[in-house]
Amino acid sequence: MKKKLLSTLLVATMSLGILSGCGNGGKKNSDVVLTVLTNKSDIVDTTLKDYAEDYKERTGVTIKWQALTDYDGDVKVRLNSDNYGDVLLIPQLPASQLKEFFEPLGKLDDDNIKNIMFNDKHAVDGTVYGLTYGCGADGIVYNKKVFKDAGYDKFPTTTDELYKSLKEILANGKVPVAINSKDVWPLASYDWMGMPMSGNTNFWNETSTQEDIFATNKPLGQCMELLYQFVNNGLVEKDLATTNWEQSKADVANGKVGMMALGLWAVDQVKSLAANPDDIGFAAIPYDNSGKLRANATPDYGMAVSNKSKYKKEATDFLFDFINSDFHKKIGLMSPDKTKKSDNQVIKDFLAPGVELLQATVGTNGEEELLFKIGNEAKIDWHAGAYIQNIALASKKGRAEYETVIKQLNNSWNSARQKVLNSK
Amino acid sequence: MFSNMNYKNQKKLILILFLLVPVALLITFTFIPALNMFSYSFFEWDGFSTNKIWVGFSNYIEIFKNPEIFASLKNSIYYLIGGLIQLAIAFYFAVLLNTKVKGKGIFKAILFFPFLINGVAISLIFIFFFQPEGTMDSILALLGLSKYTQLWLGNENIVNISLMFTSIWRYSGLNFIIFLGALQSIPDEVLEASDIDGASQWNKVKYIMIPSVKRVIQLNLILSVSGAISVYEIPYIMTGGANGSSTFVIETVNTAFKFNKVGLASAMAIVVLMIVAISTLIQKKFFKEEA
Repeated sequence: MKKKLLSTLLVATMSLGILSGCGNGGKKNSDVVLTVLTNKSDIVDTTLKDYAEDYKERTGVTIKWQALTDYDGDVKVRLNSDNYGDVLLIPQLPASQLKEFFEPLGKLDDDNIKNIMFNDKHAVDGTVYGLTYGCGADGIVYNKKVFKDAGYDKFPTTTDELYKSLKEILANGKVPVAINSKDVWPLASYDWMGMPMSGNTNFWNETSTQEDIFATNKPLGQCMELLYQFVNNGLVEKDLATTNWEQSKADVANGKVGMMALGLWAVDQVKSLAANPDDIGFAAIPYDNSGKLRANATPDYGMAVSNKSKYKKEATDFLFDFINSDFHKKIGLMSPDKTKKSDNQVIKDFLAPGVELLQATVGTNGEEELLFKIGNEAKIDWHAGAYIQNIALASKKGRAEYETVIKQLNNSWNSARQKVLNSK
Repeated sequence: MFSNMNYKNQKKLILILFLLVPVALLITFTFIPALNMFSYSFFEWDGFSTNKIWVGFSNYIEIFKNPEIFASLKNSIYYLIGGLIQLAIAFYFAVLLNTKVKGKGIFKAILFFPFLINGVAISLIFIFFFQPEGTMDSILALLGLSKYTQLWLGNENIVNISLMFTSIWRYSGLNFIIFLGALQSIPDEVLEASDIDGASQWNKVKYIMIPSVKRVIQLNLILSVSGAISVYEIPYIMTGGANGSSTFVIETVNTAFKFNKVGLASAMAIVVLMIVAISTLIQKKFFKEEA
């Protein structure tokens, strides 16, 4: 009898566990809960939590942040379902698919949209689906003290000076450039350099019309040549197979590494790890010996409202509140509103040598979709770094191996291009 | 109601009730996804758009036309050799710990423990182990052999051997426990009789133990081959498949999620399944002829 009672109680207790996932019945108006997906796993419990608490006080709406470390990878899978949050960041997607997943936010010339930079990046036929909360630029995050010890008070503004400074840093026993080959995504910086290297804001739209895009006389070839020089001259990490992203940030912060090619978004992350935050600076990488600097102006992720959300109005209100807030200041970026000027010292120092900020032209003829279609066919993962990892590893072995890999990439691109264009 | 049924029906009812949950889970998380994947292999799809294009067998044709895709199977040979070394190590310890040894329990626990640890955790720790000036280099330095240090993962000629070593460390325990169980099922009288007849330890192993555990050795060989063909976790986490350490399954995952070609990747997965199935059948045939 006792055994029977005990086993019944156990079964009952365990069944309650199954029921714990079920929600409650009625929904109250002020109990709106918005699920917001983000990639900022480093500040989700601090800055973002504070924002959520403040928002609840002002509007009564609860914000639940969900941080995904491999944002693009995880979110793309969720887009298959109906559950991808109420507000989320837009992963790499062809423009034609925006309306499948996201709610229109308005038109390009709406009052609350027309002054937002990059408002056409996630827009189709004048309808806007995504807006960014911060604008940055691609560039070099560097340790001022390491460069000073090598004899450079200011970051080099010509390529000759750049190589000289890096060799000097190596002689001082530090690692000049960290490329983070193992984590793959940091290598993407080297193909983003393609547009400023060429000086042509329409560069990415024209790439699909070209063959042999990695040839040494073409912009992408020049970017990879830069990487080759870094790796082949021993200016990078000793073992490319065991590099560590988190560790590399700490190494730049503490002066073990001279510089990394990243973006404005990384400056605050590195500063927070530094014993002396003023040691960390941000500069444009020189592409030639002219002394004229150019940099890729980049939007951070675009924010969008899911068209499967149950709270579309509340989600849209939250989205506009967020992008107009000073969240961008907290992560060291520029405001998306082009009428606002930045008072951030790092940004001011960055722009001081007269850097021309180039904003990539958004193609209106499906150029981006074509670029990625050919890329996927050629196994060139644009702006993600895997094909660049092969280049880095070949560079370590020698010039001949590097040239073989470049030739293979050119051939893959050419044949993929033929295949995709012929199948249209 | 339950006690009104006859014994046979009660047994049936209990069997069905017990199997209900596991079978439901199996169908939901194994069979349905596998069938879905089989259907995806006939489409061209990027994994998230609502637009799938029927292409029939062209994904399969592409796999067999393109020599690069099968090149990554070469690395499975390293893991196959690793599997054989594993079996040798496991069998050796099983024989040893089947005899009267002090502290048997502790040794068994130490040998089996690696298998219980999560594979991802093991892979991450072994990255630190193989780093320049990591544990491996420190051990060599302690033994005064620091001039032999290499870039264990950075040197593409030895990266596969380093990964193979990690795999051996992880899986030997499993083979060991299986062998131990099989050896312990040998009746004591047979071993005592051989003692009386004056058999040496090596004779005992060769003429009594190995034949008794033949079935288990065959099973382990089949598992090793299919494991080597579909190896994925350890190389993916430790090197991401870079530097010549890629495997067929890593290529499949990259094709699906990096290059957004889910149709082609599904076809690759089905091809791996076929290869493993065929190799298992060949091995079973081979063993049957022996018996």
